[in-house]
Amino acid sequence: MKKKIICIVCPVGCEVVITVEKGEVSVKGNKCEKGLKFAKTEALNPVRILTTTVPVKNGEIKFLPIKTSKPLPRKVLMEAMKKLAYVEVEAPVKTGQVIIKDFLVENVKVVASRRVKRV
Amino acid sequence: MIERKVDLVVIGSGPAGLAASIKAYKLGLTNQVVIEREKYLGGVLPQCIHPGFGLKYFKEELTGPEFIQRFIDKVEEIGIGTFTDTTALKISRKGEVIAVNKKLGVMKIKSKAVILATGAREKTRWDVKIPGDRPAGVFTAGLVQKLINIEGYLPGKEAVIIGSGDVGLIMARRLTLEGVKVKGVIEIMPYPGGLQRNIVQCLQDFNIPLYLSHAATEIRGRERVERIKIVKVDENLNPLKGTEKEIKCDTVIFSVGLVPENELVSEIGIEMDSNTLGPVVNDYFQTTAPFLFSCGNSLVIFDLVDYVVENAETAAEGVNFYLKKGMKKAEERKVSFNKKIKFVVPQRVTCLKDVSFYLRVKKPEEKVFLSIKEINWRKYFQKIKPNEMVKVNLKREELLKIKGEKITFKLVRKS
Repeated sequence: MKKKIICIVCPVGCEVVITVEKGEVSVKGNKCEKGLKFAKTEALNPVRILTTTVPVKNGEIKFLPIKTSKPLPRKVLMEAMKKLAYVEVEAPVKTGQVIIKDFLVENVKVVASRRVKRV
Repeated sequence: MIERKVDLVVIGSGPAGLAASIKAYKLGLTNQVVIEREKYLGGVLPQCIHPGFGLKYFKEELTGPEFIQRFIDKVEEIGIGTFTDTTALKISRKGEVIAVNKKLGVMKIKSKAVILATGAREKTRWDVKIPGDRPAGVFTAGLVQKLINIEGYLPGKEAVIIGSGDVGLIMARRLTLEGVKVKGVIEIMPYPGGLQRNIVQCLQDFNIPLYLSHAATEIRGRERVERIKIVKVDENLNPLKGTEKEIKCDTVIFSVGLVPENELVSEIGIEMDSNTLGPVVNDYFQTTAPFLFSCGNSLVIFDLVDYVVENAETAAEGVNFYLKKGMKKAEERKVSFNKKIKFVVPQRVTCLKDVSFYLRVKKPEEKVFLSIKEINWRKYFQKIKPNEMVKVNLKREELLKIKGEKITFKLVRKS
């Protein structure tokens, strides 16, 4: 299998060609190590960081922006959103505070993207 | 009326304003205030909850809130005076800033220097002139972003996005994740307006159709948007007969570009650049009014916040230089460029320091040289696109080679 993809690791957006033969992945066109790693994952099991918001009680703001500490498999993003629809947090919240441990995948955490003071 | 005397007023607390303020503080300008119109510091970044910020500046990938939180924490830690919920109304030619706050009333702040970091405003339906009805359900992309991420409201159920700017692409993904059906992104040009990575991770990941070379011709609906009409266009952007198509939707979102916000300085008559719509500045980001400096999106629309911070810090250095050494109107060389280039910032150079130039091309080009004749400098580009700002770093020694009063950027095809 040969596939042309755009690397999305950084805004440069290199065009990368991935070839998969007998389970072996070869990558051409990447300009950095990160791009190589990305292309290999993208060929076999694409992953993405998920960001969204959850309601926050008694905070200076109403919604807390959150993100996954590591990328999740792309195919579970919608399922992840459904799970997060039931999550609510209470202020105060610190930047980087863990909201959920082991979210869908082991060792993937849901963390707060900002601080929220209690009011 | 509150009256204060400071060395520096920073207008705007987005990444440009806060970065400039912190840098100026570190350089010893501790008597300063930051004015912010919104209730919170941070400008647009608190609503940009997606990742992709800080790769250059912090060497790690952060979300917008995380990126700006680092600056907000710093401002609070060192105790810079900030006025939120405060609108700057006027800047006089003497550097007096009049601002108003609901609780404190009108304030008069006498300052030796002012940094403008007022950001940008979104272009709207009226800027791109889409006719039809005027129903509810027409938004700009940044407004939708604020509604969803800050206020917690969804704008509708079925959306069409007009324009393929980055904010629009990011909102296509955000809306989809929140259960809104995004029926397509309409782009009049044959190439997307946003970054390639956003086409991949925001549209292709979710099978959202991108209609390149398509124009929206009508928005229809009695009270709420009901449908929009689109048509294919040729290379001269003229509609092609027989390609008309209707898309049913209840929401139309415009992502058709940003305009630098400079209303505050329109009265004092500084020189403006008709290509960037921001002020003309030298390499210290000093405008033609010596006490007034400009940075961030109010100077020129950047696509990376990392560049915004970098240029804001240089503006702070400029203020410091101006106040401490009394920068006289230094000898400046004018920057000019050929037809393939849309703009180059800064527009003047003092040749007193190394300079980073930021420029954009008008159209996508392949196999081209960007050259500066006066110093015998050139760089080859396999591909160069309008949606990706080009940064050129030049050392002072190189700039000193310029003999005349001009420095000319040219983009030419490899022959």
